[in-house]
Amino acid sequence: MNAAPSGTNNFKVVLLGEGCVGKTSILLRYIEDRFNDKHLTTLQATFLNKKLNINGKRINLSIWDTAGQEKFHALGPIYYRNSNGAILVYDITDEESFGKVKNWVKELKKMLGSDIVLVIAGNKIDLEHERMVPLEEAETYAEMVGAKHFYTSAKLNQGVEELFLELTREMAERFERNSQAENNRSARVLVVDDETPTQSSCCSGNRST
Amino acid sequence: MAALSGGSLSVSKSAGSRGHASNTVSVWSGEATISSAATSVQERIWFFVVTVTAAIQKDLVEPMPGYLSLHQTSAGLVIKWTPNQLMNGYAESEGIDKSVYWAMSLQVCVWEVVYVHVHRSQASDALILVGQDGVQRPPIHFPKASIELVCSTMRRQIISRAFYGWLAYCRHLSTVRTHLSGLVHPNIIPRDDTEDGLTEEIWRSMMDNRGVISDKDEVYRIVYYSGVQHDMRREVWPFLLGYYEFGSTAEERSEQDSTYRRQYETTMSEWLCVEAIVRQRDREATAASIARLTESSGKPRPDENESAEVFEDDCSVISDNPPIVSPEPSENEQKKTESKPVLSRAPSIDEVDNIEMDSEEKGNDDDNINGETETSDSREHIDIDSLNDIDDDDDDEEVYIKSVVENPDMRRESIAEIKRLAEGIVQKGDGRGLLCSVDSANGTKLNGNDFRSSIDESQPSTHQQHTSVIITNPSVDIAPSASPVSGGTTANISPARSPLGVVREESHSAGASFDTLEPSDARPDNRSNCVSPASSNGGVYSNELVESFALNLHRIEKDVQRCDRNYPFFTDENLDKLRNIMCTFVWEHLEMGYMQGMCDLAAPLLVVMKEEAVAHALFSRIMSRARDNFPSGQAMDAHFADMRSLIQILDCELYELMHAHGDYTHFYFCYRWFLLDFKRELLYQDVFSAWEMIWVARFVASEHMVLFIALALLETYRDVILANSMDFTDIIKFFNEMAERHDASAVLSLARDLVLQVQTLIENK
Ligand SMILES: Nc1nc2c(ncn2[C@@H]2O[C@H](COP(=O)(O)OP(=O)(O)O)[C@@H](O)[C@H]2O)c(=O)[nH]1
Ligand SMILES: [Mg+2]
Repeated sequence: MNAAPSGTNNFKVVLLGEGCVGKTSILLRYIEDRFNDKHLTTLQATFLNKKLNINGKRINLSIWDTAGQEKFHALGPIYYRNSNGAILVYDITDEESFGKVKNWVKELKKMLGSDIVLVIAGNKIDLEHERMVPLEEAETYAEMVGAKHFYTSAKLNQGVEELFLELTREMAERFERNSQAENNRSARVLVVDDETPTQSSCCSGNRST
Repeated sequence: MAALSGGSLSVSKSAGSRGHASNTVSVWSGEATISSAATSVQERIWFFVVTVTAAIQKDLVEPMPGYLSLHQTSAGLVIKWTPNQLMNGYAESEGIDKSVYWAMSLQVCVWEVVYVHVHRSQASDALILVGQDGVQRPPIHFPKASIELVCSTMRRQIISRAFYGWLAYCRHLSTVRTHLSGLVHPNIIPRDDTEDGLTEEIWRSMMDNRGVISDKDEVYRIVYYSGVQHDMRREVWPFLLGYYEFGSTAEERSEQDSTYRRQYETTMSEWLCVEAIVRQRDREATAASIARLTESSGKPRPDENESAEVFEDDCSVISDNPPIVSPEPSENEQKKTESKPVLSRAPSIDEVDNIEMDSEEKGNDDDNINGETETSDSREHIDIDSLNDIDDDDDDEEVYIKSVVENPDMRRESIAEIKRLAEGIVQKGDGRGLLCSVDSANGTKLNGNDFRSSIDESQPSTHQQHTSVIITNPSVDIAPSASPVSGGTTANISPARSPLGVVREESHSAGASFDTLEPSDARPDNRSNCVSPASSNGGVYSNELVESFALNLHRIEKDVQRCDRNYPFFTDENLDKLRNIMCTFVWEHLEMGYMQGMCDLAAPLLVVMKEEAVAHALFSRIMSRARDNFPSGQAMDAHFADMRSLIQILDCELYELMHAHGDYTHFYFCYRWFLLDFKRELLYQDVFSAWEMIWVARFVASEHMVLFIALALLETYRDVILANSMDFTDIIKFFNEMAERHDASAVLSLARDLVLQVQTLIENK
């Protein structure tokens, strides 16, 4: 979480999910507000920037779009390393792709712990009638792993803006919280807090005030 | 000055011998590196003196002892003098304020020195440096006669350092040379002057009257330097890829073609059978999910436990090497249990309401299915007649999904049989039996969704094909039953496929084989078997195989849809050919499976060859090498390592930059280049040239031509990269934006030059 000198916060976001769930389309929709059903499969990660303002704070998102197919999974770490947020996309008409989201969640939680904000996007809701991933299952799962769940359609421009906005808001919040925690921690060196028992025990009572 | 404050200055202890000296030098330069990290150029210490006590006289009566050293920095040579008190190990200095000594330390840039005076006196010699500004630096005193010693020590140290540096460099170079010598051929085959490449004229002149081309080396040479004229590619490429043999006659080749085509068609017929099963299942699944969807709006699914489990094993399960090829078994499990309700309900034997669910025959996990089935039973109604009405009431929001069991015999099947059917034993062998259909359903209303329109999309002519729901009629079944995703592709029955004619008949032999195999749960792997309704050769397919092919099929179709749609060549008809090539190849290599990028590799071949079977032949050739580039292979890492060596040798400035800016010398930004042989980087016309050059280079100059093309691409833009100090994200972005905008002929020509350069380097060793 870098704070650029200008006061702009820089957040790195990575889009993950099985091939063909619509990652590239979501990004294209978000950045350029268009939909192209003829664009090519992503075989190498690409990278785009988006600047936005949240509560008067300037924020720059660096968004990585990755190659999705499971076989390329091993490349993931290069791109999710140091990410502040991840968007895990599945296709609501493709049950497999939801399984892939679960895999990613596991991996990210393992590799990055809770340092990373996760959101899950069920894409292609314009194909609701072909839905194969039950609504409740997805939402329950998301809740369980502490990720916000969004329904999106890159095609019809539904939910995309909200998805990124919420993710950014949460990353910003977490950033604030963390830097506050930092402050508190360094402050604690000077201030003796008599509320926490752990502290008195670690000081062996010698220096209690 | 910070550089000097570290602990490394313990040098003062190791004064004296040369051996020590070189040790300390390395310590010093280590620290110097840190101090100059901002500029990323290593500061090197060429020389330092400890035997000589130098001193400054600066308003002080007493000369002060200290250490003199000579440093090489990125800017040039620097003389430094540091008082003893600042040295580590100078015990007396404990507790005193060192800032006064820091103020006294000296740092003189040699290039700013305009005068050097040496004052000799009885007691000592003094060295005085005068800068451009005319300012005279404090004199440095040397003990009497030691200035000569200093000079000779200095000379010796510089020479030995230079020597060792040179030696290390030579050793490094020779290692790299050995490495590089593996990348190119030792003998240089001279350039060719044919400007237009391999023209028809040249080609014909090389061919005897039986159509034999014998001088393959000449062909390779011409193609390497000048390429193939476009109109000739179709004829020449099969040779270049080793599909045709040089020395074969025209007659042999056409024989080879027809044999190959027959084989291709046979293989196709095999997977088309499986495809029919897959389609059937897809429709069942869709129907079931629709049913579920409508149901679930009222009734939550009891899924929480299941997913909870999945998540709990979670953090422990995550493997260090994530599953690359097959999904985790737990997922399969999960999928199965989830799909069971789907499938067992799909036939939704509503008509067969006299059948009781027999609890003995049910697995545990079917319990809830029972409940669900009952619910749907109670809601669904069967209306065979209304099949014909599907399209009549267009403005009616209600959508009827009909469940049909056509074959009356089926109704008498036991529930166990139905379950087995549901689990994938799709058909009775003689193909009469059908299971279920999808147009099918209950009269439930889908909230506000325009369900019908999508059905219409995916099944363009639903109303004419109500019978198509019966999988027993594969000829109708295959094409129109395309999944929505592939709608565009399969909507028109490919002329390429129809002539095959292999899948159009029901097979009675299949029935026989089914009967013999059916009781054989005795099959070693205990799979269930699926007989394709479309089988012409008695094919019986394991459930596992069907599932694996289904997975691949879906991926292929999704990718084919996204393959080069901007090129006019890729009409639906040609995309369909591409799909067939992919499916056939994957069918032959199910263990490898479909990998993203394969379409890209096949597409240019199809564009040139136009004909499916031979394009498939060439694609197989290409894949035998290219498969190692895909994530399951090893070649990609080797490419990256080679790139590292090459860049280090041929452009160390660029290497330094890559190293210094977040170190992207892992070269991942070249990933797509190597994966697709630059197919996405260049325009089609240029891809052709690049590819044929890569293919023949192995016979002419290098088996690793891709490396040199990559290098050429990088070198083409080196100045831009350097000027902008690009980091990893910059360079990824840059090359993504440059895709299809390169001056390909310049790049390819540079690539050949680079090969030559390395060949020369090695020759001269
Ligand atoms: N109907 C529909 N199709 C979509 C949507 N988003 C993407 N697609 C299509 O799904 C396919 C895959 O999209 P893409 O963005 O390339 O997926 P990626 O592989 O995850 O990057 C393309 O054919 C898109 O046109 C959507 O919201 N609705
Ligand atoms: Mg993509």
